Amino acid sequence: MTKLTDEILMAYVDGELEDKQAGEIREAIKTDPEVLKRVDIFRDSSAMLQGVYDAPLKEAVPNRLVKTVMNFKTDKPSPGLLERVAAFFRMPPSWKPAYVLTAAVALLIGTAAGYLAANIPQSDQKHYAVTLNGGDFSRGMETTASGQFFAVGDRGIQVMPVATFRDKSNRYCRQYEVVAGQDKNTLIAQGIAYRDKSGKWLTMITINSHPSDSLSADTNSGYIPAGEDDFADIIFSRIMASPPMGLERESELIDHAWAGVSRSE
Amino acid sequence: MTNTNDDYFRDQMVALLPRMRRFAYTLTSNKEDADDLVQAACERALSRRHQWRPGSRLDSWMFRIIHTQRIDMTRSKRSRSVHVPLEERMFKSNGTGGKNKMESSIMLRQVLQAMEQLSEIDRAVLALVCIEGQSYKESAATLGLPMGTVMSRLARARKRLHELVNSKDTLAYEH
Repeated sequence: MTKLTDEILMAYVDGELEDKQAGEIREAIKTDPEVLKRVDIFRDSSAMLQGVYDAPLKEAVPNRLVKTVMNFKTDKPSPGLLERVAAFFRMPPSWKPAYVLTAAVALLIGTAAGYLAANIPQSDQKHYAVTLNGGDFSRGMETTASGQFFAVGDRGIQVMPVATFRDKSNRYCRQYEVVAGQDKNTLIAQGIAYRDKSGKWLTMITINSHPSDSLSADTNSGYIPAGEDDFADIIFSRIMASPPMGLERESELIDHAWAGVSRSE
Repeated sequence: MTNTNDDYFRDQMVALLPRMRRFAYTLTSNKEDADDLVQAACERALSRRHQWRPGSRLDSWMFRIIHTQRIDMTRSKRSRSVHVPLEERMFKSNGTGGKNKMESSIMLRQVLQAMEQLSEIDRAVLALVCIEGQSYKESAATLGLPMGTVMSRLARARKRLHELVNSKDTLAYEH
């Protein structure tokens, strides 16, 4: 018998229970007036809120809002550094040298590991450090083909590997995108991870799109991009050893658990 | 983004404005603040529209932006007082009769007052599930919260709302 917690009774009202569980609740309602009373609290709340807050649906939308949407001028967004890197990675083998690219995002160069990390607030770095190193992230990077999504953590975060290549140390690296939303509608960040000797995937670069649009309030700390340096050639000269490999080669590596990786480590 | 795509994007946003206003109104309990919030969120969305993935749900994306914009505005203390004249809050569709109108206004006042006592995140969860009709999973994704958190917050918020609206201390009983 299902325990009649508030969450279960509420889920019954909201049609979120499986048939079997819902049937149990229906029976409990028939036999126990107290359960009915508790269920009614949840049932009434939706009707009450809709009655109060539906008012804007019945009014004309203020003209200023329509004008804002139709006339608001936006500068054509210049692609972020990793967007350009992504585009670059997708290029066929006739790829061009990296110095044609420019960047306007400040990156920190992590001296300990010799890697780059995004200039994002400590709180967000902590968040991403949890979600984008090891665990779900590592398992997903190990087994997911480019262009496919995998879930990381329980906050609705999805990661999609974009391309696979080798770095100067002959390690396998994968570029990825991090998205959120029910249908993956918000780009949170882009990054590059490498596979270490133990088979763990670790992020070497991340750049956040804009945390306040993508993270819940408790991790939103007002990220402000800063700096005007050209890091593209750093990325290419320090990281990439060759152009991205094709999907067939990538698939072979995934199927064989990246056999033979990290030869120089 | 081509002009055609840009026009389509803006048209979709205009079509969403009534629902955006409703969602914002639930967060602010004040129509002027709600409209300011929607305007700011639209500007933010337009300036970052390259972050939206075509083919995905624009409504969820906009609700997320409205919610985070609201947090930003609250932090910078830009929101107006929630206590606006009652007349501004009247149901337009409700009733012709004086009694109905009075009952509606009392209920309205009770609910608005009760909502003001809930947290921002609780109001957002209530708005998405009880008013927008999103599933728990969709709401969790929109707000970037675990589904269990959405459920526990939602259950608590609905019970609290019930208690507050039915409390003898609510303003409605002073009349």
